Formats: sequence, structure tokens, C-alpha cells
Amino acid sequence: MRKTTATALLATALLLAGCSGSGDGDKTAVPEQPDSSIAPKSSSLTADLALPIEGYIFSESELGLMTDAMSSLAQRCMKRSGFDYRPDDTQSPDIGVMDRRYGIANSHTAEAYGYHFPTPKAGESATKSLGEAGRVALAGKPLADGSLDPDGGCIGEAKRRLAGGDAEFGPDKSARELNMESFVRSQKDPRVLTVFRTWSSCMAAKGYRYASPMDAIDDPAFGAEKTSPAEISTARADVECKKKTGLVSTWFDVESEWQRAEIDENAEELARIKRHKTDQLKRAAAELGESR
Amino acid sequence: MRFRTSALTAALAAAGALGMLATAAPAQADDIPDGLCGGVIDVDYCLWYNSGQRGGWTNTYENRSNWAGWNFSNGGQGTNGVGTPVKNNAASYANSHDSKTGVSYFNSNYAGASDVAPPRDKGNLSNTYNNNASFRWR
Repeated sequence: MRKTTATALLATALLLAGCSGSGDGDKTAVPEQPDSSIAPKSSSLTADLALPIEGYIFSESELGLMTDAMSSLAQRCMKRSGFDYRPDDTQSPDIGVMDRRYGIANSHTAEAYGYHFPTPKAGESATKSLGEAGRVALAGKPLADGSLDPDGGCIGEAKRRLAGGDAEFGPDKSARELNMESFVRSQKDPRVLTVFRTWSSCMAAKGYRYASPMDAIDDPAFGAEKTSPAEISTARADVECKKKTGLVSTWFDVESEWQRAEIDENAEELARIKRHKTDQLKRAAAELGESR
Repeated sequence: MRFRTSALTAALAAAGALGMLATAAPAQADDIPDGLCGGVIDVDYCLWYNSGQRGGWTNTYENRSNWAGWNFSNGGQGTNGVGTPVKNNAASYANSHDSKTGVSYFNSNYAGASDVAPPRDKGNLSNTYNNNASFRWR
């Protein structure tokens, strides 16, 4: 499973890397959407949707590719220092940027898990067995104020190599902020508020009272460890009402419109951000290709 | 987990009173208590009430589908926000794990827009909206 995912990702990354050379500016390759037994693509309302900002931020799987490459480099670095470091490679299924952005939008997930997304227990860390010297070699010493040093040790070295010198490893801050701002702003857009009301009436007709889909998935009643039958029927109704009202596409269009305008307005900065993302993924793919 | 956190908080309060945290010598890395995201490879995800890893603090080794019911405690990095709910109130984070990505979500049950934090990373949560409702390891 993990191997397949990594291979598919590698292909995506290489494709992305290849695209950047042709100077295609704004065109975003539709990212490979996660496809798991928990949230199969075939029952998802968002499988074919990719927001403009997705070309600039990192999805979980893209950051996973960076992290795998980072661990691979760190492992070799540790070996040179005489340490046998084996990073934890257990992994839970990815959640795509669009998967749960507008709440539950997958009929299979709703039917089987309600609003829950089952996650495995965190594994034991591999680092305790390294001893202090090994741990310092891996991650450096804490800074004078006791906080962690992101640039320390073999991990710091690996990050610098993949990021390219002093540049930030992983996602860019302004792109991350744009993504968040879009989500917040869109929930005040009249078109989105209108479709919330339509969705809300549809839910009410089925006996569920929520003003918006985020209120439904945020309901404390669905925070218990186990999924209740009431939760499943609510989640099913939620997905049905999303289908019926076209909520997902309305909301998606509003976000896309705002994001495109922002991206156009800050074209130069965002082109730089996209280049930095592409360069990082390219380096990570090359590193993983080499070590396989 | 809650018990662990409170025990840790008590230990930290004592450490803070002795000024140990402020003067923790990097050479004695193992003296830095676990759970603060600052020791030599701890493997947790921390949140703070203020930006720049200051103020009330909390941490988790596990996924949190809903931060409701958790309050910031005194981790020795300032008392601002201590006792207030963690949910939708965090301004900064640190991920001390060596190989896992930490994902913070705008809504409960891993929903809404999300923000990914690479391993061994710290920063301010990418928003002015205090939007941490759930958290998941990748």
C-alpha cells in the first residue's frame, strides 16, 4: 500500500516537475487524489475538484514525499556517523485538500463511519533507542531557550538539501495563509450563504437541524470515540443534501474565483512559490529514485 | 493522557520556579522534560496560546479529532492563556517528531481547510483566525 502510494506520488511529482519547465504559469496539474478504503474516490463528491491554491501549497501526500526523502537522507547521514536510525514508516490514509474541506462529502465514509475518520494509534518512536548521542546527531541540540532547532543534526541537513539552502522546507507561508483566508472568506459569500440555507432546509426536511455543513461535522455529539447510528444517518443525509443542492460545486466555485484573483494579483510572488514547490518535489523525487 | 499532562505540568511548574527552563544547558539535553517539544527528539505536537511558542501550552502524542475539553496549561513559557480552551485558540505550534507530519484542521473530525507542519518544525499557525479544531498525524 505504502509502496504503491509512493510510486504514484513519485510519478505525480515528476510530472509536476516536468510541467514547470514548459512555463505554463497558472495551469495546475490536477493533483493525484488519495483513494483509500475509508474514503474511496468512487463515492466522493470532490474527487475531480482541485482548487487553484493546490498548485502552491503542499497536500499531505506531497509533504509525505518530502518527508520520505528527508528521512532517507537523514538515515544515510546517521549511518555515516555510525548510528542505525530507522524512522517510523507507519502511515494513516491521506486526507486530500478537498476531501473533507466542506465537511463530509463521501457517501461510503458517511455510511461506514459517520463523521469520523478512523485513524491508527500512533506508533512507538524509533528514536528512544538511539540514546542521547544518536538523538543529538539526528536532530541537533535544543536551542538556548529550550525549544527545538528545526535546522539541527542530520534532519536539518536533509531539509536544507531538499529546500535548497536557506529556503523554507515544505510549504510557503503566504500560500498557506491564502488557503486559509479563502476558506474563511468564502463562508461569508452570499452565494455560499444561500446554498447553506438550501442545504439546511433539505436537512430539516429529513429531521436534522444545522445551519451549515461545518456545524454538522463540528457537532459535539459526533465527538465520541465510537460512531453512533444517529451519526451515520445524519452524515448520510448530509451527503445526500450536498448532492441535491449542489453545495460542493457552489462553494468550490466561490473559493476558486477568489483564489484565482489573488493569484493573478500576486502573480510574481506566487510564480516564485510554485517554482520553489516544484523544485523541492523534484529534489525529493530524485532522492527517492536514487535510494530505491 | 490527561493525567500525564497534569503530572508533567506540575513538574514543569516546579522546574520553572527554579528557573531551570530558562537556563537549560543544551549539553544536558535530557534534562529538558519530555512533552515540551524542545527536548532532543521528543515525538509530540505542541500548541501555544500566543505566537512564537509562548504563553499557555498543550501537547499531544495522539490524534485529536476534537480539541474540545482540553485547556492550555503552564509549560513554563508564559502564563498568558493558561486555563483557556485549546480548541480554536492556538496561535503557534511545534512538531518535534522526527519523521511524521502534523496536520491541524479548521474544523472537528479532520474537516475544513488544513495546515501541514513538517517534522522538526515550529512556527505560527498560518492564519489570524485561531482555527485549530482537530489534529492528525500523517
